[in-house]
Amino acid sequence: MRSTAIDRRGLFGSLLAGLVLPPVFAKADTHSTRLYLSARRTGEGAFRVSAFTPQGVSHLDVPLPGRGHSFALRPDGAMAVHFARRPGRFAKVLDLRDRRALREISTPAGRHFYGHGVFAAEGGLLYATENDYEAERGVVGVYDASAGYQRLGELSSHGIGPHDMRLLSDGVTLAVANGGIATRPDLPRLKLNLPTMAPSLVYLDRRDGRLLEEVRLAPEFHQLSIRHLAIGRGDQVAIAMQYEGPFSDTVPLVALHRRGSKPLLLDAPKAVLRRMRQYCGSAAFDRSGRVLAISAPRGNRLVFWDAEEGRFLSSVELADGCGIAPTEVPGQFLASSGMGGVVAVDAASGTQQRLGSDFLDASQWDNHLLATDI
Amino acid sequence: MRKPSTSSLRACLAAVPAVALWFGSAAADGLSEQDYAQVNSAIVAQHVLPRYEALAEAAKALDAATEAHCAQPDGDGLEELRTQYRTTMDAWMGIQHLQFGPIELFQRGYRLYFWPRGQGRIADAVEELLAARDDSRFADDAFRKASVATQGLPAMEQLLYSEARVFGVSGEAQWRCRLLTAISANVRDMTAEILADWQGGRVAFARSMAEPEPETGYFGSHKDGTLELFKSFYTGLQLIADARLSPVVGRTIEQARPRMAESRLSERSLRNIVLSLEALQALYLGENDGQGLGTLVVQSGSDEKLDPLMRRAFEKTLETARAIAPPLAEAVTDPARRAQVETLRTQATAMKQIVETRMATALGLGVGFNALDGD
Repeated sequence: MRSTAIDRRGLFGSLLAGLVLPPVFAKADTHSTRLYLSARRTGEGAFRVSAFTPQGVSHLDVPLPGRGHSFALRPDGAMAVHFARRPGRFAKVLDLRDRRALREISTPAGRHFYGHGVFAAEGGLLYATENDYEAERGVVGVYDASAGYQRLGELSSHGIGPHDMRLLSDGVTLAVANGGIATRPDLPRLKLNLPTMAPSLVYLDRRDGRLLEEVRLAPEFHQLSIRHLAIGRGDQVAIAMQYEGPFSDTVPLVALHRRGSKPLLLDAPKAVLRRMRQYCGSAAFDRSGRVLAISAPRGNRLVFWDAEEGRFLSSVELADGCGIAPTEVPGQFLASSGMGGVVAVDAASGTQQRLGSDFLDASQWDNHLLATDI
Repeated sequence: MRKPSTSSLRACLAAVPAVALWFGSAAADGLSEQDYAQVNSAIVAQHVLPRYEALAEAAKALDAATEAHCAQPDGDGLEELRTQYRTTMDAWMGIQHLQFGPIELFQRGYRLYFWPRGQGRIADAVEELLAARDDSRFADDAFRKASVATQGLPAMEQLLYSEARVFGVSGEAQWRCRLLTAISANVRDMTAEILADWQGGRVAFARSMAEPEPETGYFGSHKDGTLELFKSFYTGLQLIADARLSPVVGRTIEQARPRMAESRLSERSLRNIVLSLEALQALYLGENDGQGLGTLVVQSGSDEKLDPLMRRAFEKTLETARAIAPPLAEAVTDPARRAQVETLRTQATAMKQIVETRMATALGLGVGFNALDGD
């Protein structure tokens, strides 16, 4: 990967000209190692969670009791928690330096994970989106990472079906995507309230659960499930959505939001929007926090925007491409396929380069790919 | 996979080692757009349209029976009405698996059949509407924009089969007839509209499927059409295994939950399962001498064991389902019958898994597990 020569001049050179990277995105300590994390299904149909190097070498590979989804990354990069996919109840605490699973966490009775979470308070607390399915309300479970991941309590997510969740740079504001879809673990993959769903993006104070701001799209978009988030420069929140209405509708699938302002629906050529097949799988900003990548696995597409200008950049084809994460190169991403294989993609030129590795090729990569430096 | 849109992209993809070498792409390169087009057109003509026709016809008769019964509530019209209700449910089970096209518009699918959220919600919504005794809520427009729970066949089941099934021209009974009539007119209109939208008019859905438009159409290719049919096929199996059986059966006899059974009041849970299995079998094998999805499995030749396996799986699973003495709600807690129901659940789940892991690949549809079942 690092040795791969990718031409970043041209369109991209001008896009990033004069752009000064804020310290948070500054290159990690030279001794650090870049890792990519994702859940996968093996050729034998077993579910595992894995970490691999930019060269495609397996760094950690742990069996899972069921299908996994996404991760909470501890800021120092040493630990990650991998969550079960909805309606799973397990989470694995992974020691990325020791390359092993330390323990398994379970949700209490009456709750299951939605698959996403974040660390806060210097890694001392873990927050996870969960379903209180009897009451049909979303909650955020709070776990004490410094005391054996004991569950301290929960906050309301102020909506139904909370999915992705991110921590803003102030360290106290949680951005939560309430997908709006009611589900129950005894009807595992069925959506129960599509005619009346009402998704929202909410901002909470993680210390007391106070609702700081609630964002909803126009009523005609009430069937656009707000599912995944990515945080860009200056806490710009990218929202990746999934449309539950008629397939014949052409609706926006991606939006940007900043605290206190109205959401901006991102435009794309109609043909690109149609090809996304009304479904975004993952969202990620590049290393600079300016270029937004959205995967659309049903349409076998990856789509890129310049989030600063709200401008569509390009789209490329990747069969069942779903996981997407920034590389150390601005404007570049790694994307993983549910049919096996991982590619490096340049957002401006649309060129892609496959990472040659039997391990990567022989795995069906699940929904999310995350980058971390240990 | 769709064709790359620009020549530069094509050039860059060429630099990527052959996609076909990737996992799971034991590829059905043998299938052409022509093959997909032929099967799609046969399925639309011999499976989709006749089944929607049957549904619209049954709903029309149901509406007539409702009118007749409510005009003379003391007569013996209730049994005739229930018969027509069962005929309509039979027709619905024959095409409920089809999840795309005109059924998606105006929330028709949910308004016709709000399920599997539980009959409790239906009962509550019906009770609330009746208790309001508000004429304006039954006006066509108001009724069709109100709660989906009161608009369709599950609400009708509640009216026809719960304890309080008294219909008349005065008091409480008058409002029940009012609701019954509103539902039957709504179901009649929606099923007629679905059929009309497939056949012609502004939507002309059969044509948009037969003539895909690469850039902006509902279908970009004939393969897209097959993909939608495949997804309906998969979802149909998923509903049988995960909604009609698993929650009702439970892990153990103590954990069985008879109240979760679909159509529990009219005691047709098992019949629904048999009819939807038969409908999916017809979609696979083809019917009225037409081709089905299985035709493509055979034509692709990439997984030779799959077609015999699918055929046998349908036969065995149907055999199991037909042998269980109804109602399902009793069978799951009856030690003598429970084993059969457990077998049925195992078989239905296995079918779903076979389809998920092998059939999309065999059809060359390139549906990865993120596309088919992402989150």
